[in-house]
Amino acid sequence: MEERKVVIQAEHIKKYFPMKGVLGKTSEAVHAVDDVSLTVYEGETVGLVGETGCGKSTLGRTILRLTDPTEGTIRLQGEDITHYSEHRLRKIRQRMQIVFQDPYSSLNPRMTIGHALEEVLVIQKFKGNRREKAEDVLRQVGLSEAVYHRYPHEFSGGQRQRVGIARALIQDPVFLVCDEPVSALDVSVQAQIVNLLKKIQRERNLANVFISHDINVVRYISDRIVVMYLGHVMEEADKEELMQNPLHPYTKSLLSAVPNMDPRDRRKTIPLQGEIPSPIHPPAGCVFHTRCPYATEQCRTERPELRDCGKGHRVRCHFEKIG
Amino acid sequence: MAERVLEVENLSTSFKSKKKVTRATDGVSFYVERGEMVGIVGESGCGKSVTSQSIMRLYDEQDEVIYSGSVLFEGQNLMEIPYKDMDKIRGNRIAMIFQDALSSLNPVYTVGNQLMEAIRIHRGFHRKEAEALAVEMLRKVGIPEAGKRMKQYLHELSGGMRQRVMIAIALSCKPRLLIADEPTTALDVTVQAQIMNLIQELKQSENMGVILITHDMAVVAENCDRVMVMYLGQMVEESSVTEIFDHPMHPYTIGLIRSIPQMSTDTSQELYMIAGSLPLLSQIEGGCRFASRCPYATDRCRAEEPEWTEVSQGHRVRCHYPVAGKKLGE
Repeated sequence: MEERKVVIQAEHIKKYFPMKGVLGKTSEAVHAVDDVSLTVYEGETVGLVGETGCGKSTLGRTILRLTDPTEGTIRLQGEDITHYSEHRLRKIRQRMQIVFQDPYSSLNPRMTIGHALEEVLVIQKFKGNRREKAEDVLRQVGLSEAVYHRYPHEFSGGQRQRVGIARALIQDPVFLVCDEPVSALDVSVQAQIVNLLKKIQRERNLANVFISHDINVVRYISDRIVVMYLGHVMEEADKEELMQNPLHPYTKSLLSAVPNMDPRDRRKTIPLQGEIPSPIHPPAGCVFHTRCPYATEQCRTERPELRDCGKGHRVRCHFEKIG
Repeated sequence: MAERVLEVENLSTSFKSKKKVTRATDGVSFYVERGEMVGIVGESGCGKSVTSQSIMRLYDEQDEVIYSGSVLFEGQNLMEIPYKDMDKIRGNRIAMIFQDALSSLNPVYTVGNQLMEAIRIHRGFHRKEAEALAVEMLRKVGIPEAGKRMKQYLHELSGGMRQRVMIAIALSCKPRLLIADEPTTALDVTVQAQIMNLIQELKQSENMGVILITHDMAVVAENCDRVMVMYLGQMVEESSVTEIFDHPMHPYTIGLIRSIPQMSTDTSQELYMIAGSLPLLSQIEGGCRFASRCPYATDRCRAEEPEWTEVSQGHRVRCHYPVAGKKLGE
């Protein structure tokens, strides 16, 4: 196999949010991300899936150094950026960009699209023709240069998301995080944006982390899928391997909960009972044991390691075969 | 044939503003039988919520809204009864649940308080009886430690639990019809499965009709008996759920089904896309409302508004060329 270039390497990332206790003492913390490692290669899309509160967005933001990790190291193209100051980060930020769920709240309503795009270039001290560059990137995201003088409120949700993508791309990043980029869009527009993101990722050979709660969208766009639960990686594999041969009971129930479009093949049983435990006091042992139908005494006391099952398929479960 | 709980005939809802009148929905007709779940599908602005809120007459009738058409509920035309009499129907014989329980319920009252309020108003129970029924309802919707939950506030509950509380309140008066407006949109898939399962069970045990409003064709496939697809204030297709997935006829319906990636979607192919974006209601000038985005639109489509075509029994579509739609689906 040819040598692939590692773009992002995050190791043993922990992110705890301290909670203010009585008299401002910090006694407890929300364990948002707990010892997660993630490597993304050039030209690869890694999908992060999981339910609300599983830590997928926090992980994305921590890797981008939008929040500081509690522990762990982050390398961008081999460069350790874990402890970079704001000043030094500014220089490398053009290499790593993010597309948010709601582009409306991330665009200044008083700035024209052209202005918003050019501002990025001013900050990065871009030497060439800014107008040309901005129009070029607008074309790439499927907008005409006529939108240059328009304001965000004049756009539909889908067009606004295109502007959000344009603003991330104008700096020619090598690494892109997409945080629920299509969740707020109407179904008919969602497909347009998914296609666009996939096309751009291929053309630019980007390393991409795609965060979504929608496992079908993640499967469509990703090469590899990472399943998170309560701040931990539960399973990780190439997408078809994960969909065809899920090993973790949580992945299995997550997949079986997705409604399918065949009215003749309706779900007979509820895939998962109960609720996600509090991330302030995550369960001892395997974090999933409180909801796992196969949990044993060992699961309740001993935390399973992320075990390699070959072909890059890794699973955090004590048992080889289950269910 | 089962008894029809609700029959909506030619219902249109228009909103008045200072300068103009906007017709939000136009000539909506459908029915709901007892023990049946009917899905209304469409994207934002298609009029699915306006339709359901018009059935309940939830808009301010003093100076905001104009209705036309009729809504027959248990033989009574809701559009003709005095406005104040709607109080006896709303929340009592027709109940409604919404997407966001947090903004539909009151954060400063306990769960028990809000449940008992509904029971006491609609069923005239005394405090003790109401309390007993409230606890029973919480158990029925699958809330553990119901007694304890009665004394809790909404912020102490998870999203799924809040939705269950709202369902408990809605069902405490044994409605004949439940309108569920995107009840699981804000929830995770595993919780969505739990809630939809609960609604299914209650539909069976109470033998009530359910209108499920959603944008998600997969949720429809899992749960509904019949479906209506709406686009820009109009119904464009109506059929049984198996028929609409086997033979979708309207190009918009086909787009809705095909543009959502599924487990079986070929990831090396581009996802099917519906071109363009939703036009504004004010931009419509006759002709088929979908014409500007339809790959098969002709001059006739742009000039002449299509009437209903009956494709097979119980399956009708508002399209000049329903066969073109079929070709698209293959």
